[in-house]
Amino acid sequence: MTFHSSELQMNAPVALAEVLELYAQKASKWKLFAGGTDLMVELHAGHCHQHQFLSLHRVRELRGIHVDEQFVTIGATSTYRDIVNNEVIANEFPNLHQAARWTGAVAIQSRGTLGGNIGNASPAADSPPALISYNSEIELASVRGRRWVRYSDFHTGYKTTCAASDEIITRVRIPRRKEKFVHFYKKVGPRKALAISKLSLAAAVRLENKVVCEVSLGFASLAPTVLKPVSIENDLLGVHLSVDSIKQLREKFQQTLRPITDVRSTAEYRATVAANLFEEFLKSLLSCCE
Amino acid sequence: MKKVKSDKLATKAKSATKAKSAKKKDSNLVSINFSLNGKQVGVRVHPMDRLLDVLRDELGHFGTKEGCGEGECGACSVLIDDELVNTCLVPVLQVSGRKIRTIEALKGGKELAALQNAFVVQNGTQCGFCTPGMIMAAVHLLETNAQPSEEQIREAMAGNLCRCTGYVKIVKAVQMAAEEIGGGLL
Repeated sequence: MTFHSSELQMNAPVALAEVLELYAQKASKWKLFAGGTDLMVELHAGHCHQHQFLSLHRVRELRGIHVDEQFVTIGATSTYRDIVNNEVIANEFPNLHQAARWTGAVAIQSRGTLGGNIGNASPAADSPPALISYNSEIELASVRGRRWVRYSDFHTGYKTTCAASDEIITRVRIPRRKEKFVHFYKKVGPRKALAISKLSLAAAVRLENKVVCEVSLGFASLAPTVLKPVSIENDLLGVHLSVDSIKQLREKFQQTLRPITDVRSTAEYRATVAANLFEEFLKSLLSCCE
Repeated sequence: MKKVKSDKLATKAKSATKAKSAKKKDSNLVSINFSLNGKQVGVRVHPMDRLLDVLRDELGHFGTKEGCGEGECGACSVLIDDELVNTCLVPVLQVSGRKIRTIEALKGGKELAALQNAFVVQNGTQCGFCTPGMIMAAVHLLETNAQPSEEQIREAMAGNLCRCTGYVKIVKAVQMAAEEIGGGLL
């Protein structure tokens, strides 16, 4: 064993109120622990120096997917497998279905949770671009109460979020839409399974006669946070899709890009791949109209 | 020959347990009970011990292998409440009260016979280190999908790495086992 588990503590309350109480009192000491697919790796590698873990696995109200007329609401400790197996999500939010299916492989999907993926706040996470493409909101809870925030406002910088030190992610909700949308999700990685993305793009678009009427985009691994590129969305709105307009949009997109360099890829590589991915996405929209 | 081998394993398990229990006279220990291959077991462990280490060192179940130790290779795969997991990523506290099946659960069962035979016939095993994890991933697949397509087999086994076979033989072995079992695992 490479990490010293005898020095680590884990507390697993049954009641959410108890979790919130502990987290508020000792916010600096307790580290939330959901499926552990990131934390166990970090502990093993000696990169995590926390000693007290607050496991959420016994809090029943945090897991499960609830569907009503307005929203699909996903409990924070619902696993990728829970998401993959949900028919409403597969039918109405295929970007999220795909993201969950392409995260790790089956054994990771049965442990990793949506709340953990969001809370870990990695810019390379798989589900956040999909959540952004569907204008999702997340619920933060603390002893002080609960609040909903727009997911696109949640990440404030590299691995930082707008959650206060006593707040935990409890639910994610996605508004259901009556209109027909075109969905696009693509992840670029070194291999299909068990790969962390070099780049990914999720998009949901409403088209009327080749004109973009609504659009929401989410990029992973492009910026220090998962990114909603508002200016590019605005550039797309009202555009009549054609071979020419796609070429112009690609050029404009490429000029705005300021990609990151990290262990998985360079800014130069990402700039080219992002532009290619963006063009592929636009072409897929055009082919939907034909 | 077989007996000598199993005696050796039992001795190894016992000495590992002894060494562990000598070390563990500290206040951080907790008692955890769960079902292991149909039997209730109880262990005194640290809450964040990896399930992998508890299975091997405390309970002498050496069929579950440690490969990468970071959830990338699948050699340590078992089923918890019928879900496939990597035991190197599971703190033992989280399996309290759960139902765990390791490769040893399949001993003598119909499923091992068919899967084992298929892996042998198709040469799906070479060094054998990945095989227990591969078999558990295959059991998980065949319990939920009796007639998987090649693509579904590849997706279900994508988290299990093999550095010997090149996968084609493993995929063929799972296809062959699926045909032979014919939904018997569902």
